[in-house]
Amino acid sequence: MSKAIEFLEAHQSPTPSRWREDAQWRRDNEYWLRYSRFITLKVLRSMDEHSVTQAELARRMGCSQQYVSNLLKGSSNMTLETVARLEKALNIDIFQTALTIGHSHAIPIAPSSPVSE
Amino acid sequence: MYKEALIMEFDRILDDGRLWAVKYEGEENNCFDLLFDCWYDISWLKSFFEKNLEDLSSFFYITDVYEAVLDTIDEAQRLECLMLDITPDANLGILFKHLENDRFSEMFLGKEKAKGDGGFKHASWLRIYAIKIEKGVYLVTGGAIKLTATMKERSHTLAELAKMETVRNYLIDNGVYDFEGFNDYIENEQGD
Repeated sequence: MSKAIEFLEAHQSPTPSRWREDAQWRRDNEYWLRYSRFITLKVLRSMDEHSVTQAELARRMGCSQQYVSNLLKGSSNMTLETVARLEKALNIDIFQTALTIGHSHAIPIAPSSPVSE
Repeated sequence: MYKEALIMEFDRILDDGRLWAVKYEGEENNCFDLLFDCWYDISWLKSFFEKNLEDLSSFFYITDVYEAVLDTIDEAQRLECLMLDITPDANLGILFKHLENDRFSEMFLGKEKAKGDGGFKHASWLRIYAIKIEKGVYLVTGGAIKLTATMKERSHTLAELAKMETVRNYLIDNGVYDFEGFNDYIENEQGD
């Protein structure tokens, strides 16, 4: 073994890399992660257009700014409730149109109550 | 701007010890993990491209930051899949190339770069920077979204150059200088 490898091994950090685990997770969950990214981009575009800050979005959704910040990374497995609240908070259409196509009645938006984190 | 770290630790990225990453003092994770965290983080990417919109439009003719965000995630996925599927007998030298485009020979603790695959729309802009420890063994020092022709043009890529130099000096200062091993390596390379 070379001096360099010996040196690296002797100075390994106590917390091992989580990259392989994360990468495998991203690969295994890509089938829904793309939906999360689609929703996040739609939300960010709307926030830009209407100058809505993360703090304001958090206030409208009744949740913490930290929660919104995590949502906007684009890899959150959002519940349907969260998606509906994003639609309502920003007055945007994420699923509404898709849900009403072929139905004679629009699906009502959920009443407001704090989002469980 | 990156500040010179006094203490560095190292994380093994590939189990077989061919790819390592620096964990800089004060950072929660090693730089390789952090790179992919950023390259998949839509908010982080949006903020980056907003700050560098002029480079994005001048060099890549893209004016929509959201398009750049999605292109980056696509490229990160391709690069990550490539690295995830590296087999024990594959040569990492296929992935890493000399940092200097005009360097054609090996140097001790040489600076290297790995590029992503930009896809059909434009050239790659993701970069992973590393020090070549020995044949087939690399130590990642950082990475960047490189939108300009040279690294010296922007502070965030200039900082990556400084990090590579700092890590290289750190290794040399700590006695990681295996001149005989390097000579053997060069002889073997020439013999290949």
